[in-house]
Amino acid sequence: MTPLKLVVSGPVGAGKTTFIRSISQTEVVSTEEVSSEEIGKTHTTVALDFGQIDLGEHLLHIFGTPGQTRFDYMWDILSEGALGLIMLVPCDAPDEFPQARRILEYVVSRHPVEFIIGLTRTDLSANGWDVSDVAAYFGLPEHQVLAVDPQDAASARRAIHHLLQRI
Amino acid sequence: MAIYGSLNEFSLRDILTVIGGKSGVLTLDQQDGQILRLHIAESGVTRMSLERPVQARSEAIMLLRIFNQERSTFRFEAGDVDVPRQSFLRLSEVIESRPDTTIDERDLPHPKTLFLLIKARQVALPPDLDEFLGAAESMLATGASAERIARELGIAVNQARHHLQRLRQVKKVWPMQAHVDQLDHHQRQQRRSLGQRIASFFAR
Repeated sequence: MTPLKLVVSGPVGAGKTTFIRSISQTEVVSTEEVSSEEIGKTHTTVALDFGQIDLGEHLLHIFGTPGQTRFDYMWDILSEGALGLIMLVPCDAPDEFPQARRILEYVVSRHPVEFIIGLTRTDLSANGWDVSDVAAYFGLPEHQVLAVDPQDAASARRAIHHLLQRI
Repeated sequence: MAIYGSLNEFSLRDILTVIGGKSGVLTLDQQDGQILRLHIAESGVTRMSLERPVQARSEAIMLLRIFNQERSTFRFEAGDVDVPRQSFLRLSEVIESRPDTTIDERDLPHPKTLFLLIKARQVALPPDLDEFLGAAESMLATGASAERIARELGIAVNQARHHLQRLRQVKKVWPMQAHVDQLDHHQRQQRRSLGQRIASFFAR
């Protein structure tokens, strides 16, 4: 059975680890450590998160990248051979958008991966950017950006379905 | 919902691109309490004020440059604004200005991001940028990063990043999308077929 690979990326606090935990059929391997920098949370991913889904014909491996720039060498390692990329972006943290755009352009220019933007925290914040404004910022058509709740397995599955339909 | 953030992270060019054709008021709020307000409608600035109305175009452009460099926050509230017969500053004048030598560090790409030449786009370039493009054109035709261009041309990586960003501003180069630009028709078909097969799993 040939495993397929999906990458979940994004800046710190976007919900990458939560997203993978909500859809993985196996216990998620996480490399979380106590954060040594002031990043707004106590623990952060330092190498990768890993989960998997058995699709019958294939295994789908889901990798989460670290959000901090100092781990950017992992973006290449984890994106190599990936089928698609979901870039999670918290709608109420616009100061993280430039970093998300930098990661996205870096990865999709170097690896042949289809991608979507998953806009998170839309349910928690009445004061976030909306889908059309985020799409304009990333220079993407609106249908390539969708609201995602990483804690909700159905929402995470919808995001993956949306991505796969674009391939 | 509002469009907001910090000018530490966003360039004014990016903000105005997102605002695009919307109508409303853009507020740039400096830490020292000075507030610049831009009334925007029909892709133009219809009114600008900094405690008092700003009427001269040259003053408006100067103020935008100053606020763009300061540690300010911005907030755009959409809504109706008065639309005079003529905008006094078009947003496109700020967004698509000639690629001068001043580049926003916030906009610089990652040194390894690959850029592709947009051959069909004809644009007049300043001599130094024209010279850079002439030297890097063959690399950019198939996709090249600032890091590679700098190595091949014997220039600093940061200089190559600046040049690429200036070329990007006038849409002469654009970040590559490898799944479109590198995969051939057969590879794309294979992927599409695989994607469709496994997509059904997530539709349940």
